Amino acid sequence: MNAGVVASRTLSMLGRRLLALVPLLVIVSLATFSLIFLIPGDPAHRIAGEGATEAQVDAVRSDLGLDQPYYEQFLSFLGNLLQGDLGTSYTFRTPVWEMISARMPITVSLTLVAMVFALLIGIPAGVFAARRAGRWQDRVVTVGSTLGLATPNFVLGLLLTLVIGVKLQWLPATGYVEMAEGFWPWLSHLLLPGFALGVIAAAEIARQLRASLADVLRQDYVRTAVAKGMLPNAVVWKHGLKNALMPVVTVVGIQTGYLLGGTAVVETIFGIQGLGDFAVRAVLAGDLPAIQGMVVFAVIITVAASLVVDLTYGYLNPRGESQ
Amino acid sequence: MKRIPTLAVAACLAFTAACGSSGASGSGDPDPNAVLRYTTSAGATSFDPHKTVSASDFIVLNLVYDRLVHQDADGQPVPGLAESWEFSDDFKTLTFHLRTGLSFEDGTPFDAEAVKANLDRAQEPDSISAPLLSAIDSVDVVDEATVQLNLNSPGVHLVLTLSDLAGMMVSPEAFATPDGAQALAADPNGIGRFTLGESDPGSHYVFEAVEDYWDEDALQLGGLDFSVATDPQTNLNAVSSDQADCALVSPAMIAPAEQIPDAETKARTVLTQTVLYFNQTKSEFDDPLVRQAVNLAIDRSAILEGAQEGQGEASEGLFPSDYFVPNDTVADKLAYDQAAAKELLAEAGLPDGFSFTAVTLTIPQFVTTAEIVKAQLAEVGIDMEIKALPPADLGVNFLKGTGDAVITGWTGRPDPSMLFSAYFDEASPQNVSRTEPAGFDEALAAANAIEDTAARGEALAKVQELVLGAGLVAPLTFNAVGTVCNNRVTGYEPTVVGISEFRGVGMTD
Repeated sequence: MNAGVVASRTLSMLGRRLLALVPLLVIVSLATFSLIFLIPGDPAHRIAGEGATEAQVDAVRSDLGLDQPYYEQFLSFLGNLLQGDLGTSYTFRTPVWEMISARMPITVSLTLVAMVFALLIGIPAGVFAARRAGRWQDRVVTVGSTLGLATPNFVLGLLLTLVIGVKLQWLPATGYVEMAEGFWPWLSHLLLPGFALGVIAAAEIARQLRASLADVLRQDYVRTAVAKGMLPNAVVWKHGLKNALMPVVTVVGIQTGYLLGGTAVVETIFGIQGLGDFAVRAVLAGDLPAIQGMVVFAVIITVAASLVVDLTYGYLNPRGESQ
Repeated sequence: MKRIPTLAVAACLAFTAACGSSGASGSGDPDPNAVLRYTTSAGATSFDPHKTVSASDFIVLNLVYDRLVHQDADGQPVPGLAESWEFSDDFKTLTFHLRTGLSFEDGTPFDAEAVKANLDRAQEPDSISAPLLSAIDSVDVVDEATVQLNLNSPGVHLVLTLSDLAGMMVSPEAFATPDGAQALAADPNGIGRFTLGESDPGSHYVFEAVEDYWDEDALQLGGLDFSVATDPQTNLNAVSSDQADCALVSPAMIAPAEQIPDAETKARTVLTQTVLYFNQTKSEFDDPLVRQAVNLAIDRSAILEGAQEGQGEASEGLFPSDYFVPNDTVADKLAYDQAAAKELLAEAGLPDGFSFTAVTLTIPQFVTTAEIVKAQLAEVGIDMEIKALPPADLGVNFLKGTGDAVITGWTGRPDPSMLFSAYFDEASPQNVSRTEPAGFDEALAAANAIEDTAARGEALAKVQELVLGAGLVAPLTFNAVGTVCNNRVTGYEPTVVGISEFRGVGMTD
């Protein structure tokens, strides 16, 4: 198929996806705005504090526009959202976007390290198991990945921090430093939380890859390649893997969303002040704009990840109709 | 990390002067450029001491704002930005003599005009301190270094009140315009040991030491790196793995903190307490006999063991046993006596007990406390249902009528009158029942007209007698709070209010 047709299909798919994003964001913003009804108590009173007089509570209510009808509050929320304004945190009186963008590099770094762990463990384990499908090595990988899936990241996180961080002191048990302070200090702070976060994704990737690669390795063209005298490693890595990667790419896309969710727990355990930690604090404080901001942000990231997955499909399978 | 022989630490503790500063755990002279990394459980919601809505912001704000009056470790007033103060004979005029030659971060001079501007601002209706300063009628500038507070009632309590947020001094230039005042929320402008270098609101702050600070003994550091982690174990892990030099330690964490090698935990019983506070307009709590019966049915020692690992103190009153307000006149009202509790219930016409709902915090210490209280009350026939709410919702929902009583924490306040006014004065928004015992105002006013600490303690004990005699609250336990620091840290001393100001704390190489 010629490259022009592929590019035009990709562009058209991208356009459709971006268009679909508009109603999705409206629905998500309505749902997040509705959180105001789900959180018990009077937000104005909560912000003004327990010792506030009724006059002080009323002043806060009017200051934040909480005395306006709900539809007006929603329209104003939506209008601000369209301009990229996620509102101002009730607790810290700071723009939510400012707080999210300050923490974004931290969580992106953590997610990146987690994903590298997931791929570095998941792909070799999946290939190893697929090449020995049905043998004891395959079962070991299957049991291992089941264990990985079954172990909650907070259990693994606590174990890692206590054993490797506190007891052995091989790696920092808590905190985060910016890459500006050096690559190793940055990476060393992310290895334990990144591993704790990435293990579930690694297990999922290993399972999916094992299944799809084992299937591909039974195909005729693989058998032909082997019959032609191609080395087994070359068959697996050059022919088998590219065709077996589609389900893995799907898993990676889905896991990006899960990883973002997982940071809430992992960042709390490792004392990392990223977006997950921010979301936890926002919920504990009942800080509605911060919660809404995080939900909208998470939706955008998840949609973006799924878009990247679709584009990758196009690369891996140029003949296929884009999903 | 430098290991210090046990004997040397013991000698340090025994002869504090020999170690350069009180309670030192490190050795050698502090490094004036050292940056102390502290990790704790809460940051600041705002750097504007008057317009913040959270009293706990004091924990961070004391680093950048000095107050007119400071406190020693036992909670007694010591000079701050005011060198001295005196009352008129009727205690209705309070005169502060200010330190001279100081200026705010922006260069504005600190003088009587600045103090007046600050006290006026702290009394504005939207100030968190306004209810605490209601005794102030007006503030007069006597001369450049003297300011006079004209009061509408005796005001000895104002001295310690002004050692809190209410007494923090902000540059008047900073709040001269509405935009400037708004900017204060993120950008402090005061006189303090530190200035704020960087901040990530609520989670991380970098403080830089100021040059030529007026109290050189109080500033032994080059900076303070302040991080916030919501999980208490994470804070301890940070010290264990040398990611932090000091960490806040809650009661349940004292024993694990003491196990950290090359570190020392210093904790003490603080004014912060757990209470069962009644809404007298609900359930059977309008009857004093019922409230007194609940007080007698609770075994506070069991709560201390079960919910706080034995750390802190079982309440014998509204103040810890080593505080200047004595508890001996109320101890019998809180003594564990199930038979007496049953008798009181029978006298109240409830021989078979009654049911009520207690709301509490979704924090393990409070849930455990509630479970123990529930079991103890069941033994005298009282059925208590527990409903746990997140910290952000509990207080507000209780004040709006959720639950018949609340099991919650009351934070330590610098002056006892602040506690009495907040929860037992009928005009206070935090007094859910909107009633007060007969003679309450008079007893409190009498206590606020005595300057001698011991005599004032006796007078405040009379207010306590009124409150606990009517059984308005069931005090349960006092917290033990402290800090674990590695052995490079010197001079840390826990305070009775429970807040680490880090005055005089340094670090050796």
